[in-house]
Amino acid sequence: MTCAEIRELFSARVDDALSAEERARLEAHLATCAECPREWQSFERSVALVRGIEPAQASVGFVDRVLAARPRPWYRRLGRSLLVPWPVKLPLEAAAIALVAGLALLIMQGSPELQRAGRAPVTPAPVSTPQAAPPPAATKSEPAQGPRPPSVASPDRQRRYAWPDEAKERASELAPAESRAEQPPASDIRPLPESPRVTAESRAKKADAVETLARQDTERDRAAAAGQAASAPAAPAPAAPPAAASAPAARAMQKSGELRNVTAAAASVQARLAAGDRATAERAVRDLVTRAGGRIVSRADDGDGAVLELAVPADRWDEVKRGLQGLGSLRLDETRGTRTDPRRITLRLER
Amino acid sequence: MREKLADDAALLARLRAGDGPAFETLVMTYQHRVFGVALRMLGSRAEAEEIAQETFLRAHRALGEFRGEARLGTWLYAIASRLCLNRLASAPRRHEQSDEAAVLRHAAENADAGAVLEQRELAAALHDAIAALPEERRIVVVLRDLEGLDYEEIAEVLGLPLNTVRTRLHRARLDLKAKLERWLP
Repeated sequence: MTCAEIRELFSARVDDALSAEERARLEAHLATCAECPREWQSFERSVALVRGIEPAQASVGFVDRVLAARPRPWYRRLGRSLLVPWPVKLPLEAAAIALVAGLALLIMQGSPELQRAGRAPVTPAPVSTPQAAPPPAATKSEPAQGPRPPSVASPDRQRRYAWPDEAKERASELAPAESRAEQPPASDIRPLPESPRVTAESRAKKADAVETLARQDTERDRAAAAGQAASAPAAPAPAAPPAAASAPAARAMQKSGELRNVTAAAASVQARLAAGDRATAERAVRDLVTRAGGRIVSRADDGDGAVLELAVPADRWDEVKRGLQGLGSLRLDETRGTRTDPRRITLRLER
Repeated sequence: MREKLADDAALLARLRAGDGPAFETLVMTYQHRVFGVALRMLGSRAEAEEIAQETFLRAHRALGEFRGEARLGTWLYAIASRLCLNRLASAPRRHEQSDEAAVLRHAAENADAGAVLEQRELAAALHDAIAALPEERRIVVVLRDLEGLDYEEIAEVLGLPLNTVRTRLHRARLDLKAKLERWLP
């Protein structure tokens, strides 16, 4: 083993990391070599000098500085990292605004009342034409349509569900208790929730009767409609649906006192009787009905004929019908009505 | 360090349990050693303190990932060594007299007694000799002769094969011996 090879083992010998064999060879060489023992002493001394260096000391306060620099808890760092940088903060805010807007839209769509409140008020229709001047009649007939609608803040809604005391009084005065709940929806707006007693058929019959009678008094109708409109300027006049067509006639008949009977006549039979002498035929009808135990509920007259509202016991109706057929040409329509007792017959006498 | 190794397991358990004072204990226990490695490697007290602080902060963040297979001290040495070598690699510097060596040399020049003068000159020479070593050799001799780690621990800290550690250590010692001829028999 050469001196160079032996000196490669000096570090391991300093650290006592030689194997037994290496140690033996090294010791043997050092015992015989003149230079290597001196080299070993220098080497060992230099290592000892390095190992003798004073340990370094961190400055006073180092621990406190480290503790102060210790990072915040993760949730604080997360909050800060999310909220402080503008590139992150701005999209978050935009997303929040979009979320709120979306929720508002969903709530709006989910609530029909809010949708209606958000619409523009309906333009009032002109009051000069009978078709479009229904407010008084509407307010009168609305009470019969079921539960009173809830009050809402929307002006449009308030107008729709207006419930003037005056109209309420007149409605109760004009409509018999039995038929009050069966008033057709003369309102200008969508139908209110119906009473269970009200059916589409009965509404159709009532509308027919009202229309028929209304034609008898056209001039009075117009005058009355104009008077109603003038006397109630604050009353709303919303757009009129088809159901409002009978309102002027009804209003006119209220004036003449006939509406009470007409609205009460939930006629189950529509009849037309053509006779040569209308007055004679009318007297005969009265006798016929009276003999059968019935009564003339109402009578209306127009230029072309008369309209009688009859109430005949159901078991005598066939007898009355035969009598009517003997008076002239009788056309009957019994298919639209229910078979009530007594039968309600709207009979138009024509020439 | 060795007498403290037995306490590592208990300290590590406290650290993982979120015991607040445990981290303070860790810093107090290892502050001078970590700082010493950084000072011998970088030669500047300011830089050494910065690296030492960063070492503990990184350890604090990485406590959850520390598997406990290594000793706490070894783990800290590994972090500090990597930080020092990265710093030296990112900012190559020509060999200059270190702050520490300059302080020692200045103290030696102003010393009165001959023995004290010689002692301080020797300290300055030692620091200069260490600072003149290549980084890869310097870190090995610092960990072995100044911090007392054995070969296996050094290999673990630096991620080197054991023979590489032996070789680098021997070369570093030969370099130091050559630099310290004046102080050797």
